[in-house]
Amino acid sequence: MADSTHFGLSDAIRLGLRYIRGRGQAPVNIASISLASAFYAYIALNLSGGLGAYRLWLLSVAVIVAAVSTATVMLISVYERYREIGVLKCIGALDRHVFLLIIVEAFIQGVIGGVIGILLGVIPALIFTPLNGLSGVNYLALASTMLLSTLISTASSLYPAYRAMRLNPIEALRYEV
Amino acid sequence: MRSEPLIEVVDLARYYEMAGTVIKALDGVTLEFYRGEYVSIVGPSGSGKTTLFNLIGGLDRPTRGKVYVDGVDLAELDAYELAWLRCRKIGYIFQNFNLIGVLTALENVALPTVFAGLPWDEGVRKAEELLRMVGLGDRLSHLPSELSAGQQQRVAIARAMVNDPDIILADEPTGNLDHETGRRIIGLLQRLNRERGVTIIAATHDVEMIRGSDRVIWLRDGRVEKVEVR
Repeated sequence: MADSTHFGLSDAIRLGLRYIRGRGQAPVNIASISLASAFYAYIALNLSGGLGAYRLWLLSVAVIVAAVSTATVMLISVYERYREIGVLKCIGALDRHVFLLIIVEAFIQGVIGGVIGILLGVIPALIFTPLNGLSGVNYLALASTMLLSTLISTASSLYPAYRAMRLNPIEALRYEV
Repeated sequence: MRSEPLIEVVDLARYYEMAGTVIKALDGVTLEFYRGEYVSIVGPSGSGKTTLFNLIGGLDRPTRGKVYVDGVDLAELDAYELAWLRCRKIGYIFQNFNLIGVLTALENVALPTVFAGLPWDEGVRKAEELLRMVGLGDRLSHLPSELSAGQQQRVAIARAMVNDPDIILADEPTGNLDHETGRRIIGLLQRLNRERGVTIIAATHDVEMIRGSDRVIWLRDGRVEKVEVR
């Protein structure tokens, strides 16, 4: 028979955006990721005094909370979509297509969370710390915030994405609502 | 005078083990389905209808026996080829419609064309054409939750047809619909069967559905009880 089915990055982004827009879980993920990255951004912009054990501890807690919350919420999101993922497999989705979809969703949420986090971190930093206005903002700090937020989101979605990928369509379709 | 069967099922069996006991969901079924046929599969729940569909669609592997689709032995296909088969050759219709909740009617119908490798715009164009054909030309941008049950099933039928499959597997397509709506859905399936020559295999309890079929296959306890040619 001919080659296999297709589902590229742009297709995953299109479908992922619909899911992010259409489902209640995305805002929860974005909120927790924004909070952790706001925290990080604020600290990263004011490193002159050194990081210090206390701030490092606060930051670690924020990151762990965000990661655990994202993993949990993504797992719920996958379970709630059991049937729909089963349908995707029925109409031609391969395991890796399903994996890609969930990871892309997570990545997009990480990006949105990062942007919000940067805003939430920069604004108080400008007000409360001796930065010289926007020119005093360290862009490396912002870039690393972005990196952190996408990393939290994607890394903690690896297991949910794996579960979604391994789902057996026969069982998924038997699920009654 | 009949040509090669489109689907051939030979001594097909599927056993499950549940809590130590073996459940024979399908136990030695031999059947042939021909191009352009409209076949109803009837039997009480647990008689093996859904298991048969899962095996024909390559979603499940048999314990024993063979399934040939278009002369190809499904046992010889890998996961990639099976996905291709489900995408291009077979359209699925379910009792509970199973549309994607966050996608509009148009996007739901266009989705299988993505897996078939069609550019999105082209898929959307095809989807629109099909939705007009099933009478939903004015509901393109509605979400499934904004559609009635009958309209949702018509969207599902359009989705099943969008990659021009040879076969439609319909598992109780009128099971969740009231009598009148069910009749319209049956009419639509019969029209697709006549006009487009798509082979329809429908698991059903619905008398209306059975009435219009070329053949009726009665399953009981995983075996063919009788085959009735109409």
